Amino acid sequence: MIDQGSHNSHRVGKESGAKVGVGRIIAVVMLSCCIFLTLTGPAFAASITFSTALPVTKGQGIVRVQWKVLEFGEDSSSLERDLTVRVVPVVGVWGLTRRLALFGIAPLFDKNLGLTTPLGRRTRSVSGLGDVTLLARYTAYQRDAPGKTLRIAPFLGVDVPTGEDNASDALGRLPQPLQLGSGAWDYNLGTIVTRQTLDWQIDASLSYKFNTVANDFEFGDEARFDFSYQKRLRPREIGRGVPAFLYGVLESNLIWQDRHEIGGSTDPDSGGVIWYLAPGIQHVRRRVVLEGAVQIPLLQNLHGAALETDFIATLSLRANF
Amino acid sequence: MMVRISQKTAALLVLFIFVSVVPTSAQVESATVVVEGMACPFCAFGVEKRLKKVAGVGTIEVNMAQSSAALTASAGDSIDVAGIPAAIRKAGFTPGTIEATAVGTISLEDSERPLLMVDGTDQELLLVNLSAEIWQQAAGLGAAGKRVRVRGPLHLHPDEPAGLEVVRLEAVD
Repeated sequence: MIDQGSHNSHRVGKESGAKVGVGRIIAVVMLSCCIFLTLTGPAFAASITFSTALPVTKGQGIVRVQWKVLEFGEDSSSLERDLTVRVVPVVGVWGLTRRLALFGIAPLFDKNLGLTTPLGRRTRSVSGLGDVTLLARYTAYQRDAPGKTLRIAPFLGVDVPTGEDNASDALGRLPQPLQLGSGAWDYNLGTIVTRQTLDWQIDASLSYKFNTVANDFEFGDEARFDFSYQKRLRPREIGRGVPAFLYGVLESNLIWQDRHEIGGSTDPDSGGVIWYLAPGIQHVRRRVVLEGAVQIPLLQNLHGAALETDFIATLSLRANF
Repeated sequence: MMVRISQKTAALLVLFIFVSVVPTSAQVESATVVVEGMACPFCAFGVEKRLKKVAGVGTIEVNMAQSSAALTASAGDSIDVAGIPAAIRKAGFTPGTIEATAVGTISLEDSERPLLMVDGTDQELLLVNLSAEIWQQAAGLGAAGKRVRVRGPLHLHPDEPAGLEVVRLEAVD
């Protein structure tokens, strides 16, 4: 029974048909959640897949709307799984002081998991608001010079369990990772370093997320190292005024996630290490940033059985007011 | 139909028109500030937004290549130059050199501390780093009570008149 599998499959291992599938489903969706987190960092100035330490003016607001498609496939099992996660994270940023910025991230999910069951091909779907993330970032160190800056900014955040965490369909309760929300209050902290000049920018971020238990399920903690390099391609020479900049972007996301725990037991089909490389492009104007990137997994060393990522496409629009 | 206007009314009318068309020059007419740390167009908007709140500022032109913002006073106003550094800091950047152009009269009450009494405000700018040639020119214009336009870098100090390095000095007609 798939609806029971979210609690049992990790004990069954790989040899038992449907339950193995459920374990994989969990791993797959966990991976998608992991990727979602990778992509929804409150970026507002330069990097696409995570935050930067650049300033948000006191009293200034920034809204960022992203559109992401996460595709997983090439399932070698008899379940022939096919997972598509579409996410629209809406990010709001407000400069409370010149050093302290507050972020709110509200993700709208549409998850569709196709799989072959003894009853035939089925799709398990869910859509709606996920868990909202609240985050505070403080610029602790700042060294400015004409046309360049260096910033170091630690941040603290919490995931508020606003998403539905007990949804079910005709096949029963959805596995916990397929739910819109975790049901748990999760916490993260980290530090972002940004070096920006008129010609290029580098961002590096180290962060850790502490996940807690809800519904007898605890997502594995997560550590990540993100890196981004942006190079101005246009204009080659900066003229008068504030010309629009076109950046070529290359980003890297290295993510380690611990195994989940279900009912106090470790889920062997969860966690692992993923490394993405993401070429992208950005068009930056005074009030608007348009950007896009494709994340390609270079390394997926996941525990147990899991679908691997094909690609992740991101389009994003930012505006300040 | 002819309208009869008394001589007194006509005189007042002429005076009114004359007063209306006499240009009212801005006192701190313009200022250019270097914004250290500003390195992308998206950041420029926050700087502009903050600088617009500085009293007397009419227009702002950010120059990314120079990392600077040029402020021009709105008609009849004087830019509150003391508010510029705070505005830059609130935008999350570091204020660099500020160069200003101010109009006023030179006071030589203290011959060692020539002051520019900025027109229409209680603002005083201490004229500093005067070359011998400019000092002579300033003394002449000050003694004659003529209005002058002075341009140069500003040095802001709390509880003291701002210092204005005189790079250029000219009489205002």
